Amino acid sequence: MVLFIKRLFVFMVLPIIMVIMTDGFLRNKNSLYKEKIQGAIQDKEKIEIIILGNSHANFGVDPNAFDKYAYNLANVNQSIYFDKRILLSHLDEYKNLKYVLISADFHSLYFSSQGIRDVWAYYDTGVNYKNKNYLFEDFSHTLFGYTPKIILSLFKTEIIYQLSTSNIVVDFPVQKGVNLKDTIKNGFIGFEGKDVDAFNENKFQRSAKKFNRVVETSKEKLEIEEDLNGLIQILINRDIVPILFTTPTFVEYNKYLNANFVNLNKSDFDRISGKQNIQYWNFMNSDLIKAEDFYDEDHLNKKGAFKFGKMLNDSINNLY
Amino acid sequence: MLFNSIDFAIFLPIVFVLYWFVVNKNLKHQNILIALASYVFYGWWDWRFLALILFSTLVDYGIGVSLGKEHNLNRRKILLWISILVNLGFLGFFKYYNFFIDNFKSAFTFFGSAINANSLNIILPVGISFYTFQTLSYTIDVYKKRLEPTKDFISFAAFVSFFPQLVAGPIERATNLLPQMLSKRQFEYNDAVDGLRQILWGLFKKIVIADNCATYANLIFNNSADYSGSTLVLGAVFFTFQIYGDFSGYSDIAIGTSRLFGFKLMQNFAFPYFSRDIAEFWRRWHISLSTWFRDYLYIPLGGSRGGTWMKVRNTFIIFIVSGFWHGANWTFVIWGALNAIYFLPLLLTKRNRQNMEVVAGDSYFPSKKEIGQMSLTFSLTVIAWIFFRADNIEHALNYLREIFSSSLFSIPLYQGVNFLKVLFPLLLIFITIEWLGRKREFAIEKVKIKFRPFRYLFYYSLLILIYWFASENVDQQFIYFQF
Repeated sequence: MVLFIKRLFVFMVLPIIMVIMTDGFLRNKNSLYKEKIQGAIQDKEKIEIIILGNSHANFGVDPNAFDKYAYNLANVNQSIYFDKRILLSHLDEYKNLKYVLISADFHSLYFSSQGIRDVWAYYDTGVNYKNKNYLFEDFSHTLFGYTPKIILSLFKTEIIYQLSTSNIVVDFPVQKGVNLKDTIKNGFIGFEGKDVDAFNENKFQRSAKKFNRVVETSKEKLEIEEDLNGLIQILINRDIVPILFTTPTFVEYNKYLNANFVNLNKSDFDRISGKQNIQYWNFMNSDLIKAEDFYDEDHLNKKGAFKFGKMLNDSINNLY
Repeated sequence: MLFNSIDFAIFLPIVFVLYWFVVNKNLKHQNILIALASYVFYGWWDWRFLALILFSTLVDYGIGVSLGKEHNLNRRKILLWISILVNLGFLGFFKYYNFFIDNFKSAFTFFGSAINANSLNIILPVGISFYTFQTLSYTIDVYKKRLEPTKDFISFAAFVSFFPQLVAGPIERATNLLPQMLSKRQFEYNDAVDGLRQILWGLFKKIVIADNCATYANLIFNNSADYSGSTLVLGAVFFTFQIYGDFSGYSDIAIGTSRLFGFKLMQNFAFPYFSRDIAEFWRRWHISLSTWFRDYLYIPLGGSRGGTWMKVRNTFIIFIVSGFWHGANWTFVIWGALNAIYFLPLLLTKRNRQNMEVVAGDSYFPSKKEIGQMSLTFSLTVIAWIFFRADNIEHALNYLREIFSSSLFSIPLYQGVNFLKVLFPLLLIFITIEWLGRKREFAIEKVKIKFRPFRYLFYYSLLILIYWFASENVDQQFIYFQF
C-alpha cells in the first residue's frame, strides 16, 4: 500500500503543479467581461447610454457613434438574464444614465444560459446563473472553469501580447476577425472587414437552423419575458428609458430563419413594449444597412456598427 | 453518480481510504462500507429507487435462505418462481409496461375495437436490468444447488448493490462475486495499479472516443433525411464506435474500480470488432449478458441440441430476448433478430466455433483472409447497429434505403463538423492501441515501455486527452444507463 501511494503521488506531482500554475495564470488573466465592466465602472459618472445584448449588439453597436456618452456592455452569447444582472450590479453608480438599449433578437426570449460562458461571466462580473453553486469552479479555474481550448487560446493571446514589439493592445481573447492592434473604446471592439467564408447559402442555412432550433425547443420564454419585464420596470422606476431594439441581419440570411418565429418574435416585442409603454425598434431587415456593413450573416463589422450606432443615435434624438 | 463526474472523483478516494485504512481489519465492516457506499452511489441519482434495490435484496436473500432449508422440489420451485416473478415483475412494470399497453392499443385499434388503457409516466430506475439479472442468477444457482445460500445479509446486500457494476454491469454471477464478498480481501499492488490503468483506459474510451463519436453520430442520425448515403454510412460507423467506447469504457472503469477494492470481476468485452464472424463477435461483446442468457435461457431451452428447428427456435429466442432486454422498442427486437439471422448459418453449418483464438495470435498483422473476415463481420454489425440507434423501424429503414442508394458513392457531406482533423486520428490511435493489446484483458493492461518517465508520458497523454474532451462534450450520458 505504501508503495502504491508513493508511486501514485509521484505520478500526480507533475499534473498538480501544472494545474496550480495554470490556475495562477488564469486568475490574473484579463477578459472581455473584465475589460467591459472595469471600463464601465471607470466611466460610471459619464455614461448616459448603456447597450446590452449578445454578440449582435457587442459587435454591432459602436457607442462612439452616439452624441451622448454611450457604453457597450453587451457580450458574446450574453442572454437577457446576464444583461439584467450585469447592469444591476452597478446600476446605482451610473448616476447620469438616461437610456438602456436592450438587444431583442430573434432568439433573445428563448435562452438564459450562456453555456460554458456562464462561468466566465461569474469569474469576471460576479453574476451567478440562477443561484448555481460555483464551489468547484472557484476551487480550480483550470479543471472546472475554462475549457482546455479556451485556456490554450488565453495562453496564446498572452504569448502574442508579451512577445509583441508592435502596438498590440488587446491582451484578452477575442473572436477571429478582431484586429489585435485595436483598442477597446467605450466597451466596443469590432470586426474588421468581412468573413468571406460566411457568405454562402450553406452557412446561412446552418446558422439559421441552429437559431430556429433554439426557438423551437426552448421552454424558457415565459420566465425570460418576466425577467425582461422586471428589468424594464426597475429602469422605468429610476427614470431611465429602456428601449428594445433588434439588430440588422443579412437579408439573404433572414430568408432561412423560420418566418413564423420571426413574426412571433416581432409581435412579442411589440406586445412587451406596448404593455410597458416603451420603444421597440426593429432593424432586422433595415435597407439602410448594406452587404458591405456585415462581417458575417448576423454580425456587423466596424463600419456597419458605426452606421448602426448612428441610426440608433438618430432614433434617440428623434424621441423627444 | 456517473463515473465521469467530479462527484465520483471525490467519492472514490474517500471510499478507498475508508476501506483500506479504517475498516480494513474487519471483513464485516468492509462489507457494510461497500453496501453503504453503493447505496449512496445509487441514491445520488434518485434516492427513491433505493427502496426497490432493498426490496429486491430482501426478497432474494429470504428466498435463498428458504431454498437452503427446503428439500421439497415443488416448494423449491414455488420459491424460485416467486423470485423470478418479483424480479421480472419490477423489470416488466418499470421497463415494459408502456410498451405493451401502447402495442395492445394499436393492435385492438387495428382490428376495429378500442381498449381504454392509459400508459403511465414511469421513470426507469437506472440499472434495473442489470441488478435484476444479477439477483436472479443467485436464486437460480441456489435452486440448482450450484451455490450455497448465504446467511450473511450484509454481504448479500453488498453483492447485489456493489457500486462499480451496479448500474451498467458487468452482470456478475453470484458464484463469482458472492464468495469474494464472503472472504477476506488483501490489498495487492499489482491489482491496484492494473485497476487504475483500466480506469484510465475506460475513461479514454468513454470521453475521448465514445463522446466524440456521439457528437457526429447524433448529428447524422437526428438529421438523417438531410444526408447522403455515404454520410449515413459514416454516421453508422461513428455510432458503432460510440456504443463500444461507451459501454466497454464503462465496464473497464467498473472492473478497474473493483480491482482497487480487491475484487475480480469478469471480462465484459474482448475486442469484439476484431471478430472474424458473428459467433466470435457474440463471444466477445457484452460477455456477461451473453453468457447469462446462454446459461439461464439458451441451455435450459435445449441449446443447440435437438433438431434444426429447435436450434433455429432457440437461437431466435435468445437473440430476440437479448434485444428486448435492451429496451422496450421494436428496433431492439429487430436488432436481436438480425443478429440471429447472421448467426444461424454458422450454427447450422457447425462453423460457429471455428474462431476461438485471438485473431493473428502469432503476428502483428492479420492475414488478407482475416482482414476480409473482420471487415465483413464489422459491416454486418454496423448494419445491425442502425436498428439499435434509430428512433423507430421506419427511421432505420429510411436510413438503410438511403445508404443503399446511388448517393452512397457521393462524397460525405458535413455541415460544420471538422471530423477529419479530430475524430479520424483519434479513432486511428484507438484502433491501433486496441489491436496491439488484443491478447490481454484490456488494451493497456501491459504497456511495454520499460523506462518509467516514458511510460508516464503515455499515461499523461491519455489524461490530457481525457481532460481536453471531458470539458468539450459535457452532455453525453452512458448509453447503457437507459437499459
